[in-house]
Amino acid sequence: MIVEDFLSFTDWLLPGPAHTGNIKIGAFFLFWILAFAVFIIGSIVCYLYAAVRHGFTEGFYVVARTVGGFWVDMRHMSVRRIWAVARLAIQESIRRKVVIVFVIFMIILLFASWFLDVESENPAKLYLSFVLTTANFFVLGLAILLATFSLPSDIKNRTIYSVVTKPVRAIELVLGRILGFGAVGTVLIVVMCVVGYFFVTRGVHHDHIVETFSLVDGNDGTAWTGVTSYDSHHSHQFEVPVNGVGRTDVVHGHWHEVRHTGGSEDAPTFEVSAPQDMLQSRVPEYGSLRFLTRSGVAIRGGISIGDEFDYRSYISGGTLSSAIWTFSNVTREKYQDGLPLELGLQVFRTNKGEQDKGVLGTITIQNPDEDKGQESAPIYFEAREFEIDQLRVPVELDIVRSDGSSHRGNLFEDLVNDRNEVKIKLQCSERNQYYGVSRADLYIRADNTSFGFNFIKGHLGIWFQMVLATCFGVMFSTFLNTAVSMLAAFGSLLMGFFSSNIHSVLIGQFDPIATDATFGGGPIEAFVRVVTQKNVALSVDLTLSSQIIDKLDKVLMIVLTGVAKFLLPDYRSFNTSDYVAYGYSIDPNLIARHATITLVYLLGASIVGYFFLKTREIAA
Amino acid sequence: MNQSAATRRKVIYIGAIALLLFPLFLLGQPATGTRDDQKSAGGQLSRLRTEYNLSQADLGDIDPAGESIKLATLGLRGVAANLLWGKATEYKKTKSWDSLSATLNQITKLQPNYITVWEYQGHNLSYNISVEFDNYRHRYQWVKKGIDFLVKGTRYNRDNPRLLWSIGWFMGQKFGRADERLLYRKLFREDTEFHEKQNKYVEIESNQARGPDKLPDTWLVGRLWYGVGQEVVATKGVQIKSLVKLSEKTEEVYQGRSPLVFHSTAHRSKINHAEAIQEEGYLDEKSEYAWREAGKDWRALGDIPIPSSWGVDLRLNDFARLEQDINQMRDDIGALAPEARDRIRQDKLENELTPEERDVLAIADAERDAAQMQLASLAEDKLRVTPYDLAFRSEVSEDIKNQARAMADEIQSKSVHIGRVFQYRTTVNFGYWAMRCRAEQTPTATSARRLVFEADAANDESDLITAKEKYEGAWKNWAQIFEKYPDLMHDETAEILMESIRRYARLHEQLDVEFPRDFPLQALMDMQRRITEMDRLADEFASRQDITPEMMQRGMSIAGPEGAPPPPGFTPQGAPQSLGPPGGGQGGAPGPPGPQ
Repeated sequence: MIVEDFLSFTDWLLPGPAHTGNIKIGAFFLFWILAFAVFIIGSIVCYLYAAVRHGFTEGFYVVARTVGGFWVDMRHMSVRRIWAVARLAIQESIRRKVVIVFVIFMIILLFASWFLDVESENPAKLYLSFVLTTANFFVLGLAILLATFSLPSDIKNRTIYSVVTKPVRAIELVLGRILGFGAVGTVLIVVMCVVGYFFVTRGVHHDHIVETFSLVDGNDGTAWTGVTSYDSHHSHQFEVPVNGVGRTDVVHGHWHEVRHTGGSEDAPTFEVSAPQDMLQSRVPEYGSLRFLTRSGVAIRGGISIGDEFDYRSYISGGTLSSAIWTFSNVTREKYQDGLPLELGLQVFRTNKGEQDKGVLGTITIQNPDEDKGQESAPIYFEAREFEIDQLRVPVELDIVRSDGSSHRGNLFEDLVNDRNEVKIKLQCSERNQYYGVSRADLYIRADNTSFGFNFIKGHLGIWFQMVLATCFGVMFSTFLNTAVSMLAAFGSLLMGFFSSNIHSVLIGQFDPIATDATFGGGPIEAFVRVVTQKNVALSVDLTLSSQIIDKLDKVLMIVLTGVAKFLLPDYRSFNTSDYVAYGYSIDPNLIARHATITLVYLLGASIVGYFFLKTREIAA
Repeated sequence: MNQSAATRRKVIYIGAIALLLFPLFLLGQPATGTRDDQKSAGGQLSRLRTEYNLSQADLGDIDPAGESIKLATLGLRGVAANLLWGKATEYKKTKSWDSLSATLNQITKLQPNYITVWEYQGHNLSYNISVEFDNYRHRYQWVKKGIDFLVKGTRYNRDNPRLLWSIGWFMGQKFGRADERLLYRKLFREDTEFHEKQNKYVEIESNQARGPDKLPDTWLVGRLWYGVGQEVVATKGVQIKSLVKLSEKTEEVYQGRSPLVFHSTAHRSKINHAEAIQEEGYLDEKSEYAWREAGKDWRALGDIPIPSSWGVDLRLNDFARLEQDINQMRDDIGALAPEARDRIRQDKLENELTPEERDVLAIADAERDAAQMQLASLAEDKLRVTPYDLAFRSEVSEDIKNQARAMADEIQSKSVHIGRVFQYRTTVNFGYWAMRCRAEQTPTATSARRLVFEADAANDESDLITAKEKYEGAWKNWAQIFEKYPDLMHDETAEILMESIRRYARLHEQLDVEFPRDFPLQALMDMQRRITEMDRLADEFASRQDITPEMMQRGMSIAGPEGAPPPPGFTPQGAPQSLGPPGGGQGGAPGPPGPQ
């Protein structure tokens, strides 16, 4: 489970150290570099094409006139005319019976229980992923079909004449269609969002009753313990004080509140609430992470235990090895009841230890100002893997000074510095056992927002993708016929979705033993392997032809990776369904980034579409 | 294109479609009657499906969701399945267990009758993924998930013995052999929800599945699942293992599980159960009962005809009968020419042995060194008088020679058979386990174990006097057992017992008293010392450079694995070696799948 994004909008937009990877210039400058490159290459290609048709000098004037005409068209662009074209696009979509997509979506939801693993450990995640993924694919498919069918069939049927004979500009045609199809997609997403919300909330809702119970002596007096009924493929154990309120254990990612309402000792009565924390939207406040080695020396990463999945670094138990997070914006006003920490650890044991107990660890709150030299007394906990453990650091706590003396102190006065920063140190207490952590594994749960609102934000990601797919569909339809433009739009969608896979194929071409390399060569070699039935584990013969194939593949993969990485949107990054499914609020910074990218592609696709349409005789 | 051309083209299209419907009908007409009703057996495809039991209904339940998904993939089922397998691998790598579980669910909908999916991913869930969890309760849940996955597989492949066997294996071995087996077995006993699920398939509420605490036991429930698989094999004629040609370029290979392993693991379950409850502290009449039942079940294994790669069925219990027959015939053939045996042996001694071999035979057994022992053993082989020697080399009438020859042929035939039975018995340690069951069900054995258990406990609590008394009581009982079942001195029981004897020895040091000179288990200690010494010698022998493969083979056969002596007339280098199994590999028992 990796749900994290640490880049703020400004960090993403501007150059800085926050960027991962090799390109650290930020989105803003990268955009201008790419736009300039596309402009230069596009101009050269257009000029060469025009020169072939009209001669070198005339070709130059043709290109100059077209570029000049763009500014004229832009200046005289009319919102009213764009809206008129959009209305036509909407009417056309209705004629094409887009509602069928919604009907299919409904049918799939009706039969969803057939396909879903009803005994899943995390049903909410399953339902949410299913609804969001299904909606995503349907909307994208529809967007491409609508956008690519419209203009070519108008041109083919010559119905476009009825539009272009009106005083309508090419840019208005392109923008109007994007707007119209986008509006249809928007309505569809809204309806799917509403239906999906009820599907999920109804799907995960269930009730229990108390089935078995007994009276025990607990830490806080006598209490009822027992087991709830087996419903929705699970039951809970609970403990509740006599005439009080308790809670069940966490099963399938949720718990229930149990209230002892009365009755006799032989026949007590209980009330079990609806599921809690099943559909939630946590707002995490992440800190920055660094590690200490076994001897206490600061280091960037922790210990590798040789796991293929190196997302987490490990700290060694019973030594000075630690993971230290530094959090900012920790104020008394925000956390009046103490710091609500949430912790998701991995445990790696080098010996069995105590099989029926978790590995013990400590959390210590430290003042980042080392001259203060103050930290809290360690808070002990038992590690729980693959679930979120909740710990609350109280406001009043024991403070240990650097000289070893201790006193009762205050979190905000003694441990939070003047810049509202605080350090949280995690250590594993058991020798020869390890904790695995990543930056996102410990955070302060700053707030909870409404699940419904987060669900809408999840659909916003789908909406951005829909707009992008529509832009590309309309752009391709300005110069290709229906079938080819659909193919191109689907191709761009696939390349956008699988850009990281394409990149790993490129890595495989140059460095086959790299960890993220893909075996089997580029497109030509892959084709040869398919034909000769040679799997990826077998190396191809070192003949001249295979060397030529290798060279060609390298060139092809460089071009493909360049296109996928720099020209096409990374559709997968727009998919925020995991945030919704795992119960994390989608960061507004992320939405702002997606909105900016979408806007840029909208403008880019409109401009490119405009020039292609302009160069076609029909629109001239 | 004018109107009439368009109309003509449409007519041609419709005509072609109508024509193609005929062959489609002939090929694809669905069956509408029962299997035996030939008139309504449907088209060619339907008939073929029926003939080879390939229709979904023949294999198991029909899953509407799976069928819908298969249709929805529009012929790209293979591609979709491939993508899902890739995703499953990725999810496993990134430890996204919920997503992995959901993906496996989707794969099985696409490939419900591909047994490897169920076996591989079931193993993945129970063995590989469960160990990723630190909390043993979570690990237990994932082992269960793997078992549930396999059980689901049997719904769509109801007559597949491999899947049924695997459930028995997971249920027994994974819950019963893991490091945390005591915790797992306790969780399983109390897991009523799981019991309810299992009860739909096997009689988990029956006495057959209940342990000494009257709750379902992992080994016994596993035995029930093995039983379902054995029932399928016995009643439906399903092959456990068959010859398969994987491609045009390769030779035929055996695919499936060895029938011997298939049946023996089933019948070992009750033995494992008896061992497990002893480990859990049941050292009374309940454990004696468990061993009695285990013995019955183990003996029943001997009556099962087990298909072998020699093309004949073998019964492990035939060993005694064959042995008796061979001995009888050997006596009979000896009676035909009573003095011939000694004469032939003398003749061989004089004419077939080298001077070195004759010299080494003259040396007394106890005085031979290791090399001389090897040479003497080879010489003894050469001197052995076989039935054929009697038939061909004795100076008797032709009539007696003919009779002897016929009897020798029969002895050879039976020797080959008994050799095979012996090999199969050795593979599963049949004799040892039968003896162990007999020994363990006696009150002496129970008392011996209980006293050692109590003595160890008292020793742990530093109650040395009680510990000493209990140990001494235990040694007397153990001495009786070893006297009656001396082969138990070779097994792991003896090794574990040696640990307690060492504690007993240390206890004497702590009490500052002398170790008893008349220690009842002195024979066991001597035996263990000899075994240790032999192991050391064997290591030394194996590390020598001048050892020939033949000598190595002899060395291995001398240290044979099973407690029982080899059958009469059967020598590892004798008849069965020359007339026995080709290659000998197919009948052997491959190890269980995956780690335990």
